[in-house]
Amino acid sequence: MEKRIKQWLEKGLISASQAEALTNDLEQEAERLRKKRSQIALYTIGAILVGLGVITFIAANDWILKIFLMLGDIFKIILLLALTCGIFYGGYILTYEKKNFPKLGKAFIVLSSIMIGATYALIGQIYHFNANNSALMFVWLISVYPMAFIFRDRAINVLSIILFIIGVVFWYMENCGSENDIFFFVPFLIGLFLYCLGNVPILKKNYNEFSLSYKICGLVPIFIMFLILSYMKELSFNGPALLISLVVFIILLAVFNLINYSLESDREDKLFKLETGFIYTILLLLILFIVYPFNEIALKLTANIFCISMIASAFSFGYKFENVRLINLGTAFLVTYLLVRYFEYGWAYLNKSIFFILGGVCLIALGYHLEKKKRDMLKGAQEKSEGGEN
Amino acid sequence: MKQLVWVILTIWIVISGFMILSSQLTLTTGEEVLLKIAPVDPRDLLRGDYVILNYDISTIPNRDSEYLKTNETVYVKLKVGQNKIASFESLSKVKPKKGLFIKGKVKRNYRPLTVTYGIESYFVKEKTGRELERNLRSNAYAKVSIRKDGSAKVKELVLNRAF
Repeated sequence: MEKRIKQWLEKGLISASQAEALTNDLEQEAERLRKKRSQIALYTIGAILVGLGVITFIAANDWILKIFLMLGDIFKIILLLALTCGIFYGGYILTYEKKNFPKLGKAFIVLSSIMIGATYALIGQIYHFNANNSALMFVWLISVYPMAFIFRDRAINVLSIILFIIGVVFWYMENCGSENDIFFFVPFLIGLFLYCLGNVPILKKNYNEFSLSYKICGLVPIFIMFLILSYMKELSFNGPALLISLVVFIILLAVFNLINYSLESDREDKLFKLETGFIYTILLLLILFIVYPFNEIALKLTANIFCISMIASAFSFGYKFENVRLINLGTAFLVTYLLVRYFEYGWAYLNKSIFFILGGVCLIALGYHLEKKKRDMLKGAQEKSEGGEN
Repeated sequence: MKQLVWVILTIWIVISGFMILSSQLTLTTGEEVLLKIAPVDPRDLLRGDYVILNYDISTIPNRDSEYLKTNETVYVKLKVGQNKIASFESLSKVKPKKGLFIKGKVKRNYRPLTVTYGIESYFVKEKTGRELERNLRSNAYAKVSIRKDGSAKVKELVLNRAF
């Protein structure tokens, strides 16, 4: 924008005083945005830290016992519950009623979503519920998930995704713990479910920022599983009874994806077609894993093809749609993939000092290249939006 | 928006209330017995120190368990002896019509059959788990309250008591 002001000045479109006023305005706006961003970051980090503090405070039973020594168990719970409800309601008042501290109010709402989990944990602790149970995670999830939509809060949405993933893993451990080889499929199924959820048309239309969070959180376990697969020597199943329920889950996901496809108004969109195809390809692959035993070469080949395709797609669509979160995801995938492969092939064949120096230099060069490309893209996007505003 | 805020608050209070009431109901209306325990001690990241309580009735050795599936609900009938010490009497897939019984889930369906009852965790003050574990190695019992439907809650641990 500053370049343009200079050009306008040179062309005589604006006077020197107008150029100065415009530059000052721009600087003030940039300063205001910087302050706003740092405020949001401070409030959110503060809320998360307080939330973690409450959880560890409850985890450290002796603190609670010392402070509430004179109080009954139920009174302790009521006190924490009242505090949680008060923080939540206070956050609502600050953000939506009085509107004088909206960012602080939002941070209070996020804090209350963490503290309600701590309250449930305290109840579990007092009544000696079995630890690490999925029920606690799902109850917490039910309690906070609607808040993500009511307040359009990305942090609470991500908290809900984390609770869902932990809850499913706990549920698996409680119910299917002895069928260890089936666990291999769980991250795939969680990832695909989240990806399908991100593709629900109504969600994509009204809560696009959530939709992307589901997809990104869904892609991570799938990518990690492909990396693990690339190290496995063989993959075969002896037909345990649980495989039937596994096939049922796969069919349900296929139906979910089909419903998304049929409800989508923009079905001809290239990206949507690609996403639908991606989900079906992985579902098909899971069926193949169940039916045919894969040897080492087949596993390596399949896993590497999928890893590289996922990295390439994240970058390609990240740059195409100028989406920083997708580019960051692609970068994280690429760096993880390169590090894993580098250790796999370089460790045995290279001198150790050369191994680390070479690896470090390559990563710095790659980081520089990606950072430069991202900066160019952001600059281009900014200029485009400014051009549009003008 | 305000109505939705109240809905959320109501959900929180109802869930917390349900958790408290159901536990409190078991503790106050259930029949109290002592179960012999043998613990191990891990740490729960979310909820501090606790000991895992492994009961005598958790392992059922002489049982033809082939027809039981992992995670299947079972009912263990208890016989209550002197000093309210309860021990294993019989196991069935259907709820017994009379007598004291505890509801459990099959953890391992091969010999020896292992059953969990939802009373395997006991939370203690931070950094006291190890010490408690040592104290629990001999003559330790859990005072357990069992409701008529077989659900149970741990009331307290009874240490170093020779009956």
